This record gives sequence, structure tokens and C-alpha cells, in this order.
Amino acid sequence: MSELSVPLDSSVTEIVEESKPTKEYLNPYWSNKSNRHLIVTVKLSNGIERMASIQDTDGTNPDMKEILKVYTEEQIDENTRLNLEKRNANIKKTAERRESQKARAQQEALFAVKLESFEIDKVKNSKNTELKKLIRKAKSVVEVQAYTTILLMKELESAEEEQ
Amino acid sequence: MPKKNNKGFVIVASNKKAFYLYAKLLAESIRDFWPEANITFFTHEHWVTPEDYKLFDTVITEGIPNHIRAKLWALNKTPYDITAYLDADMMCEHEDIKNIFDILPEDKDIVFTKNRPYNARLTKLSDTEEMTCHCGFFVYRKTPAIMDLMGAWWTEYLKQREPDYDIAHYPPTAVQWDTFTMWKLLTYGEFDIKWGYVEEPDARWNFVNGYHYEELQGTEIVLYHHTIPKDQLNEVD
Repeated sequence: MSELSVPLDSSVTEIVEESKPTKEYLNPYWSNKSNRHLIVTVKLSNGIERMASIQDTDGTNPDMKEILKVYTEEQIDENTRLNLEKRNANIKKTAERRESQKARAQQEALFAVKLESFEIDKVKNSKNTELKKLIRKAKSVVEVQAYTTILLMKELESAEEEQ
Repeated sequence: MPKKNNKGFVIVASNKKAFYLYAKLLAESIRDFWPEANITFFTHEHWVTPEDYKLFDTVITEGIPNHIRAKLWALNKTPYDITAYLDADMMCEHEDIKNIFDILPEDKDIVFTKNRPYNARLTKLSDTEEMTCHCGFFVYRKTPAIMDLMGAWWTEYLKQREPDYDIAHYPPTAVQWDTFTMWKLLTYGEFDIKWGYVEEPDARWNFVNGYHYEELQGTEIVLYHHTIPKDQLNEVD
């Protein structure tokens, strides 16, 4: 029986334990640091990103352990500060937009009433520029209506006097 | 030799009859506070009525393009040494309108009010570029360079509306705005002009519907900038 021999030139493939491309943790920040509650974006190896909430009150949560291998507590604190800033800026922006919409609606209503006032022939053609100015300058619907009424009364009075 | 005190308003109405109707309301509102104001009106001949010649000092109809941005065509045809351009959808609400030409300092050729990003559909063009000038109201001097700028505003706007226009890295919606054209001209154009912003509270000179009243800093609105309802714009002439 011939000896089993391995040819010298045969290559040997080293078997290495494959490191699992599992998850990547992005932008972890505290939801509640005293409760060790983190929010983190988890990027999976297939590219999908998910937001995860991790709570680790007893120091055993495997995700928390992984995160703390990659990020220091100071980095997480800094992320928390930046996220808070961003959130506050968004809240401010939304509030400004909302206020702007409200202001727009009020201003449109006021402007529409002024236009209606000047659509009345007696107002449009009146020579009483002082009262017309007050209507134009009015800051509320009630003010427009009040000055319009006064102007109309004066117009009627002067028409009666002419007769 | 230019006439003494050759300062006046330019208002333009084209393309939609609603602009013409609101332009007249604007002129009437100016007259209520300042009967002697000079007002030139660019519009279409077929809309003009005899009473318009009483309301406006000058009515110019010759050559006006039937275009939503006909104002850009009209700006370098102003008869005044100093012009306050007003969009047709504005209304005068204060006697300080008489001081409007004082908002253009001696050392500036043109001044704009500032855009308010919270109230504008588009101001930010990129991380570092922003359209800061509101182009619905401005006061300008008739210098050769400013006249060139105004001419370029019209021709460049027309180019910008061509289907093959290269918008580069800017938002595609920017092409519809003449503000974008002016921003490009002021930023990258080579015009020998000195431009700036109206001194605060600039909002009182161009108080756009939706602005916060705090912008007035305790002053009163001089010119209110409203929005013409879409149904009125769509009305057939």
C-alpha cells in the first residue's frame, strides 16, 4: 500500500472564523440617562436602518454592551446634547410656521374687510380722506367696520344738508 | 437735465386682469395718503380706461409683454431718477409713504427688504447659499449699471425658464422665481452697483401677509403685501 502523501505544491486554505457583519450602531443618545435608556439607529448588514430603544438597568443588555464598546459615555452625552438642540430648533420652526399661518389668516381676514369697505361706492368716492386713512390703517375688523360706519353716516349727513 | 424731485412709483400689471385691478387699488391707496405722488403704470392698452389717466401720472402700454414677470421688462424703462417698485398686490396703509425715497441711502444704488424664511416657500438654495432679498418691493437709482442689472434680470429670467436651462445644484423649483435670477446676478454678476437692505424695521415697507407683527418693532405698516386669491387670478379677462 502506498503511503498517503500530500503534494508539496498543494495550497492550504486556512479556515478562519467568519466575523459576523451584524449590526452597526449609529448616533446613540440618551432618552433617560438615569434609567440607562438609549435611543440608537441600528444599521443592519442588509443596509436597513431601524430606530431602537434600549434599556439596560442591570448592565446585562447585549446591545448596550456593544454600543459602549464603540462609543464613550461622553460621546453619547454629546449626541444627546446635539439631538436636543436639533429637536428644539424643529419645535421652534414648527411653532413659527404655525404662528405665521395664524397671522396670515388674521391678516387676510382684515385685508378682505378693508377691500369690502372700499367696494362701497360711498366710501370709495368719499372726499373724507381722514376717515379713509383710518380705515386703511385699521388694525382689526371691528375698527374697519366702525370707521366705515362713521364715514357712511357723515356721507349721509352731508347728503341731507345738500338737499 | 433731470427734473427736480424726479422720484416716483412704478407699478406693473400684465397677463392677468386681477393684477390690473389690484394695481389700481394700490394707486388709490397711495393717493389717499399722498395725493401728489408720481405713479407710473405699465399695463396693456386693452385694459386701460380713461379714469386710469387721472389715477396715474403716466400710463405706458407700448411694447409691454404679456408675461407674468413683465415687471422685469419694465424696470429699466422707469421715467424716474429714483424709483420705488411695488408689486401690484400691495396696499398703502400709512402716510409715511411720503418718506419712501429716504430709505435709499446716498451710498446705495438699490435696497431690498429681507426675505423671512419662515414665511417664504424657498429661500435656502444650498448649505451656504440663500436668497435674502425680497424682490416684490425695492427702491433703486437710475444709474447705467442698475439699468443694465434690470435688463439682465429680464433676459436671464427668460433663459432660466427655458426647458434646457441647467439649474446646477439648486432646487429645481427655483427656476420659477425671479428672486433666484436676482440672487444670481447680485452674487455672480459683474455689475458695478452698491446694493443693500432697507434699514430695520424693513418689514414696515413690505409687510408680507404672514409676517409676525413683532417685525414692525413698534412701528406701523406702510405697505402691506397681500396675496391675490387664485380664483381671481384665474378669472378670464
